[in-house]
Amino acid sequence: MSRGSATPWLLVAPTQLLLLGVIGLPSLYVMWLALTQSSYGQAPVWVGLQNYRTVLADPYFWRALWNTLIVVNVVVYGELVLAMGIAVLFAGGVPLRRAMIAVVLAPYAVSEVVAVMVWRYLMEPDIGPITHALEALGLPGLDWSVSPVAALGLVGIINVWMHLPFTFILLYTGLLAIPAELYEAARIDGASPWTEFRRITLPVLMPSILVAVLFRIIFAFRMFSEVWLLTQGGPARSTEVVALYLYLTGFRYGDFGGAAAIGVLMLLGSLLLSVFWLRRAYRGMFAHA
Amino acid sequence: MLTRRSLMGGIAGAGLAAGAHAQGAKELTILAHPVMLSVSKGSRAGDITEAWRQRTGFNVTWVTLETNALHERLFREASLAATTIDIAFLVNARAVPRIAGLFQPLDPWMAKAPIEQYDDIFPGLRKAMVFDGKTMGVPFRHSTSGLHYNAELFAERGISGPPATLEEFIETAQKMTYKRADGSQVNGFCISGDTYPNIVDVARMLNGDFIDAGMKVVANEAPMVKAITLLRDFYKAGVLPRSFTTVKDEDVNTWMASGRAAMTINGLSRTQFYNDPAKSKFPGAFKVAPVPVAAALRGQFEVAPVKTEFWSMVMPKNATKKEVAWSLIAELASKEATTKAAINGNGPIRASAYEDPRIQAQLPYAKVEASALRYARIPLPAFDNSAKAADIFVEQMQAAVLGMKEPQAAMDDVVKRVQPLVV
Repeated sequence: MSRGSATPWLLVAPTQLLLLGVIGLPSLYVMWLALTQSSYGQAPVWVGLQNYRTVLADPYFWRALWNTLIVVNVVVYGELVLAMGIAVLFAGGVPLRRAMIAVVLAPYAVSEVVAVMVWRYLMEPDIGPITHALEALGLPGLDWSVSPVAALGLVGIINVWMHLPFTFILLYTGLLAIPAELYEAARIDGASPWTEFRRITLPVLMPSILVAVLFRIIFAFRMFSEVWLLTQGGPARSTEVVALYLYLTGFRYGDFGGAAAIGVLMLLGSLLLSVFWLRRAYRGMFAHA
Repeated sequence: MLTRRSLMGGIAGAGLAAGAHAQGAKELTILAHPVMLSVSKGSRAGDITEAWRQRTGFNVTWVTLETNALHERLFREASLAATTIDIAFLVNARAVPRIAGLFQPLDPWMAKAPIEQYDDIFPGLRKAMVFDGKTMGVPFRHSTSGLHYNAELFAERGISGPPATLEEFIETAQKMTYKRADGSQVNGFCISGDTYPNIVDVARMLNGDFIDAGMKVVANEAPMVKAITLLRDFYKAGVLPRSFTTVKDEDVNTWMASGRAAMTINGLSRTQFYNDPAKSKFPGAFKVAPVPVAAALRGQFEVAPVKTEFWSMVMPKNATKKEVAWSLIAELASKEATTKAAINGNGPIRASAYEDPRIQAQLPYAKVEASALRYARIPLPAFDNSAKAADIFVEQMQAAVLGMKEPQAAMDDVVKRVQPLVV
């Protein structure tokens, strides 16, 4: 097959066309919709950048963005540390390892809606079993129906609980792939456990960490069901996140143009948040090229 | 052996077969709130679609969703090129001019196959569904508020009957906030804190409103501010549940049926749920009464001018089985179906239903409902931005009740932000 042949292009064309059809065109449509005024049963009318101006001038958008950034950062990095700890513990050997792995992975098998509703019941401020247990221990309850900080805290806890299996499994499989000889050599050279972790585990595990962080930032930035089912953004819209703000704009208020603009801003937001990790991944890939 | 060609052929064949089945199926889909399903298929008067199904050979599939989710799905379905939804239920506050174009004008169908004694349906409900001179929906249900109270808990506190004035109501709610002998906490009053209609009901005890019939936003006038202040005081004193802002309408049912709350203001038909031995810890103990009005307004009103909301049946313009759908709409709006649905717990939309001896005998709240309907009015007039206006009101009400803001300042903010949305 010659270098100038069209055959390779024809062979990859179906995949490229599929990507264009299911991702490229809808994305372009959303970008165009963001430049129009559109609602149920109404033909879109071109308004230029007006939707962006309206959204960026709305203090509720900035509050939702601020809430999202706080929750995303706490959740993603908190979950990473937790998953790393559990993965190291498992790699070092735990009794009933298979059963324990099944326990850690179990939340991934539970539907998001069911999980949030169960958490909501457990943490109910008046009759929740966890609230009662905390009271019995003389500890303060998590007053999430009144306090925005407590509500966002609970949202974070639920989010970590639901997604921990994803981060854990990536890190755990990465840990298992590290050759034991590296640790043996380090021990012969007198390395402490902390030095082993810093000089062997962390660098070798970095590709897995990059993948975990990148995906979790993207997932967490779209966070919706936890907030919707728990507080619906209340009390007084204080726990709204960007995905919820988009949903209300688009589907409750029927402002499709505004919702599309928020969607584009969300994409830019998650891109900005993950740019450090993307750069790192890119450098890693081409460092030896 | 399974080859790629046979696999592709099989998938294509299965797709064609499924499509052909869907085309030929005698199935009609209704998008509704769960309460519509329960009153249409209730155990007391039976399934009101049964005779129609036997006559036409069509099956009815009910797709049920809560109010907001229902309307969001409906408007999205109706905006598509075609929809599988044949009939949908629309609440009065969401029947706004902007969405009227999504639905089929019903006058031609009405002329072709008229609804039995259409004039018997309350005129206010019929007129609210006319846009640009075209009838867009047929009323099916109204929900008018009443005061529900747990007489067994009242007796424990030595209270013999429901409050007759707002002042007595406040006193009763405070007295009914107590710990029972078994240690369980009772809240004197419970309503949903994440929607506006129940809050309007509290304001109606003072003849207050959020937006009046003349489309003026009056939330910062004395009656509504007093109502919000009352709710704030109730919240501080523990009369309202601690989780008030996250309590939904369905949660109120649980609070009442489990005896965790002593009083609520809600649709009168809910008394059947509260007294249902299968769902309630206090079957038979729940009574209804008209919502009391402030003593100073007794000369003007016998009972509070509570909210009444109504639901109508609409046909999406892009629906495909309109003739069959219309015949079911006409059936569900008939006199007999209205009466049977009322016996199942529906708020009847025909004046004649209240004279039916079956309803008088079987519905303990018929008399209370009739007295409430004399003064009742809708909680919010319909306009294009009503959903946004309602959310602003709820946001500020929650801020005031939780003590983040003074009630007057919160309601001033509502007026400032909502008035420009009202056209």
